[in-house]
Amino acid sequence: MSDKSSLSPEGGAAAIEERAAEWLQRRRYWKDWSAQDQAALEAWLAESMTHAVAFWRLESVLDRAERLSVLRPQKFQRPFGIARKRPSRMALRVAAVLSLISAVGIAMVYPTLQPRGQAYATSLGGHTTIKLTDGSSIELNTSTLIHADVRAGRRYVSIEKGEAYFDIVHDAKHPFIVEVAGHRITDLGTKFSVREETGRIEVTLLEGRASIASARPGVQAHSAVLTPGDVAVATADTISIEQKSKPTLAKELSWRRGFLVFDGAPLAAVAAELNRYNREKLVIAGDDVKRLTIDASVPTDDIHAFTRVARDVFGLHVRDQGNEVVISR
Amino acid sequence: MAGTQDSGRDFTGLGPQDDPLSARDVAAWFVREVLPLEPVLTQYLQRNWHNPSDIVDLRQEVYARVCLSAQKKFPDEPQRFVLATARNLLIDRLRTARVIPIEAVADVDALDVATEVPGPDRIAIARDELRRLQAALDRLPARCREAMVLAHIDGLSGHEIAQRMDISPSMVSAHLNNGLRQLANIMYGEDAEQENRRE
Repeated sequence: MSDKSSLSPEGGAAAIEERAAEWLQRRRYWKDWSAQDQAALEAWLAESMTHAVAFWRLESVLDRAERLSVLRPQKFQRPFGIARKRPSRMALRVAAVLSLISAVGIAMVYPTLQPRGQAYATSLGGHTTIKLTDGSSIELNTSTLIHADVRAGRRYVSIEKGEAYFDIVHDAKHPFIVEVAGHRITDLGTKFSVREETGRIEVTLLEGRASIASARPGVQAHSAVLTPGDVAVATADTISIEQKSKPTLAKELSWRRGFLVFDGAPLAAVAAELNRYNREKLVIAGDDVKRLTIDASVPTDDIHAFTRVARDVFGLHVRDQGNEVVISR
Repeated sequence: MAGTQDSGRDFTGLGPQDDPLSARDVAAWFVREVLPLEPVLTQYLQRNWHNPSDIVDLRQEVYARVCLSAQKKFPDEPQRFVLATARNLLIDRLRTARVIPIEAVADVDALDVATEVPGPDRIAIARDELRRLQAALDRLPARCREAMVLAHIDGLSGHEIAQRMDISPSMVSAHLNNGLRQLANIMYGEDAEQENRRE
């Protein structure tokens, strides 16, 4: 390797870093980034590896800083940034931020390489389908928040929380990328669903082929290729894959039709699942009751269909306490 | 459970780049494997180089050399490779300078103890990230911090920030520019580990 080729051509690391920061903040925060700017940036990066490393280093920090957006107050069913707050509330919010942190915990947003595009969200019990300009569609399940950036030459979605089903139109030149909880799912044209829950993600592939890889700086790399029927479960440092039959997969995706299908599921699991969709929460009291199993198909928005079964079939006690329905012996 | 695990770069054929060692791959590898070593590298350079004002230049040069080499092949042990590159760079510099005896540079093996330790728990760091970002933001100068908060928590654009803070767009640029560079030093800097321990 020639030392000269990598040596800074224009006076020192600080000057290069300054320049890198200039590129990044112009691209990230201002809305006038043009194709010419992009070309100029690429030329600058290609000039010297010292430029590239300074840029990558700062870019990764900018990416990490995107996580701060989880602290943003959220407006459901609407893109962010419509309602503006008065400056006087700023200080309050910054103070409130610290108390929020422990609550946010590991359910963080893992950032992207570029601005993240349009936000789409569903509230508790919500269910909506988004048509993207490339012809692909995304179906959002309850309490879900995603950002989609789909335009010429770029197909990128980040899932901040919740569950979504993707039906992606094939485009070999532009892979569709989904980022979720520190993992990146890349595919060329598939049907798959992604569910995120406190840092654990589950990816179910129905058609096509996709890969999942860790996308987080500072974490050991791991990746896997998925084929139809694969259900991948990924945590911060592992990916495991299980093959499931078509009927099983159909059951797991029954939320798309407004139902939850259970096969020998413990009541505790049924309650936890239904509680994802409803404001009124099911509480199962007693370990022996929690372990009772049930085969059932339950509408996502009707916990009383379930409590009736609990009462009439299992002979359990059902107490409605306003916000909670307690099921016990 | 039919789990498969392989290194990030083996997942090819699906990305837009067919060349497994494209600039994009090198960038991803650099961010994932090399940047977390910044405190170790900085410490090594500080211990073994006489002029503290050269450290930032040396560090960037090490990064550039490491990435130039990674374009051909990713090293198996990034930390060992980064420190060996640092040592070679210091030796090169000493040879051209002819002021300091070569013995002034410690053998990289002396630091091998550090290479065996994974450093601060990587997963813990990832989970703690939001807290660290907050702490880092709090250490920025007030106006600079305000601009960063408006950009990243409130999601405002540069022009909106200028309006909100009642300053010119070029001042906003300067604040964001400065904020980003300082965040990088805090997040990757030597004090990143202390920051972690403090909390």
